[in-house]
Amino acid sequence: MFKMYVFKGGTYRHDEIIEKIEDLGGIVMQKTPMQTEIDITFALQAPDLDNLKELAKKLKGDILEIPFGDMEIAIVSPSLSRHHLPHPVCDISEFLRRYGATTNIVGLARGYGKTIFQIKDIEKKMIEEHDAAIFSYGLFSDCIVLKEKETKEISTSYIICGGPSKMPFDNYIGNIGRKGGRMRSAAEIATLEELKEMLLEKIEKTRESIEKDPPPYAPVYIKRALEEQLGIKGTLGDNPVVLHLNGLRIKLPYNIYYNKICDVKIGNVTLGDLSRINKSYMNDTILVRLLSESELGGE
Amino acid sequence: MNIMLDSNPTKTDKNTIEKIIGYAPTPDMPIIIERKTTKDVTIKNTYDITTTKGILRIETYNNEYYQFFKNNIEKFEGLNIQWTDKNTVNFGTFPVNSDVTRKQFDYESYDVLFGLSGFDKSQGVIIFVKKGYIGNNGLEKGVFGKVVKGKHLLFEMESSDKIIKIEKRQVRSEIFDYKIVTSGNELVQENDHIITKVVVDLDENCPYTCEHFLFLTANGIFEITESLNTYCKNASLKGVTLPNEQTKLRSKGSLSVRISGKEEGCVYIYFNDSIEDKTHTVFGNVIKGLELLQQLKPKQKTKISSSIMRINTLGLTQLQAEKLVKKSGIEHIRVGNASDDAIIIRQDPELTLDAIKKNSIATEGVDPKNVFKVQLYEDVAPNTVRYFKIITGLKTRALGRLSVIFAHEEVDMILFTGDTKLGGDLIPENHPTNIVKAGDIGVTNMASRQKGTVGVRFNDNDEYGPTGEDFSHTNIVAHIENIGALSSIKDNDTIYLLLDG
Repeated sequence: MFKMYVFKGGTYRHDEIIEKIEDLGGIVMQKTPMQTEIDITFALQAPDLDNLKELAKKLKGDILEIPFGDMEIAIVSPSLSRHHLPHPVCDISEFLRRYGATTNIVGLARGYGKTIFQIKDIEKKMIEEHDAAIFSYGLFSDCIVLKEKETKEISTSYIICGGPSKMPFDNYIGNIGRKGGRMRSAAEIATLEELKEMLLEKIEKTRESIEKDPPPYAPVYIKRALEEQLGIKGTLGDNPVVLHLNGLRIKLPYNIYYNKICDVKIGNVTLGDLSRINKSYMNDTILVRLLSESELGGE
Repeated sequence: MNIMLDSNPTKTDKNTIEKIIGYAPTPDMPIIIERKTTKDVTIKNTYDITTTKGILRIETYNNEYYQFFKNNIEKFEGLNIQWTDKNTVNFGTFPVNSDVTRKQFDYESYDVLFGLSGFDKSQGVIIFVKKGYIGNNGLEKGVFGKVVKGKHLLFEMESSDKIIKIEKRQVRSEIFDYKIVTSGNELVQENDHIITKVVVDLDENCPYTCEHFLFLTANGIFEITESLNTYCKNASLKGVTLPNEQTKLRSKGSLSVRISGKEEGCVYIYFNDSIEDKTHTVFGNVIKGLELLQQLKPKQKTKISSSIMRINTLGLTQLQAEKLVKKSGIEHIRVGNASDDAIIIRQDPELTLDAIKKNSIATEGVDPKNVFKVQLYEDVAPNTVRYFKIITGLKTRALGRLSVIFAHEEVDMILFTGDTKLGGDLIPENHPTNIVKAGDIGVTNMASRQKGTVGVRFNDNDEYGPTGEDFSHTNIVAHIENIGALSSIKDNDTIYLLLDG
């Protein structure tokens, strides 16, 4: 299974890293040059990662795993008011982005008072489009208990964050809650690390489950084919195709691009043969959900 | 005893490697012995449950509920769907000998467990959870497995569906041990498979790339430069540019050549499936001996062959070419100077695969006195020799050529076309100190704007190099003996070079 990594080093001889990735059957996702430094994000299947790391070390660079690099995560705020946004929703979002995640902040805004947080069908579907969700709540434990009942129906993996240090749920991280400023202190960063570790554990289970019945082509491979065949790389901002654990989100209008996306060639078949392609509930984007081997009728 | 030798069943009464294969392997060029051990490998207590809608594959946990499942499989075959709801699919019924409870438990999506219909112990059901929920099923949390394949079928189940068959997945897996053999004394056992060489199949859609490989393996040897889990590689022809003839999946056993970047020209053999990349042309695959390649380390070699014999006549005489072409069974036509000792400077088609397809090859000969022998200074000017071989074609051919850009009867030197871009890598080496000898071929190095230019003088000179540059701007790369024979050369002529020795 492909995992996501980033090479951080100098621009001098960075082409050797790129050539090695290509030789090992990896895919270079993105290059971010910054004067004499460069970040190269890539996807690779494990067997010779150590060899690549040796080369990076020789070039005085480093290779880090970015465990959320192929995921889109929703950070859900109960409302758009100042006591729920921006802190710590932004801190959680920024922290996860350092590990490669594409994050979307979903602000709920139905009703008033405590009932402003209403997860109806459309909000549920919007959140379930993501690989994971982080619910960022406030300080009151009885409020958090109420909200936790609403989230039970969400099928995607989720974690609840709040102010009280402990709550009677397994997937809870305390000591976040409502904050007046950025999370900068050592203790606050440690809390964010704890959140990251819990998320990693949940995602690992999802990855194992996908690995037992994977789609015939990995999402990173489909992304490369889409970008080449639709000619969208570098034309629609940095990230027009967002990876999911078992699919992708394409930031193009559904009505105009649906047929073109269905016809994208993958091996001897088309993307339409390998996936379900639907309109997203978010911003007129397109969701591609790759079908597993058993769904396609294989062993 | 019965053994296998390079995938061929063989009977032998000999017992050592050297006696069986006729030579002794060495540490530089080892062989391997493959020995089979066969095991029944049960994959994690996995079961395939065939239903009328398709196969559900479940992985089980080692608990008392799994034991109950395992010991009563025949009772569960033939069970019908009792009911489905938004969270579960339930097959039953059968009697259960456990205590009834009304406790609630937290179930995860795709759990497989036992429950009761209506809290009745005679109405046991197997429950497949579609979507995680909290509820009670009449029994303790009897989860004994998880659906790993066929999850989508749970959402398609209807009341008419049933379980047809339940089978444990078992794979008879052949596991091999590989012994690397570096001497002839190694003893051979019954049923050993001795692998001594690699055999490949080449793709006729890639004539240029195949020619590159045939040149690399002209002596029947493949040397490992780098060996990883994903591939092994030979870098002897690094720097040779080839066109992109075929982008294809690099499946296990594929042969490919990198066609761009610093490592262009290197040949790779893949041990794992790797996705296709535009930087690699896939031009063939290994049909025998991949296991041998996987065991080799850098600097070790192996015998390698394909069904195609390289047909390259450049630098041969017409007579030598005739004998070579006869071996391949295709028609040979002599053009130009057709005498037996004429040296061949051109063949049409140029490439082996094209000649085989056409079933004919024409070889153009010239008078031997128009072909010049050169001695390359590989030891003292390795970088410049590498450059010289690329620009003359001597890197991949027995016959090289240089195009004249300047020659005049009143000027003591001849200048030839070089490559300014490649010449940028020419660090100063082997530059003359006091004198440049007649016949010394020099190349302008990176210290001068005219880097890459090649030249030769008819007479010794103690001031300037063969390209008219200062001594410090000149690398001496080779020597031509019969320099006088070049005196009639004019602008735009081509001279042909053969390696001396």
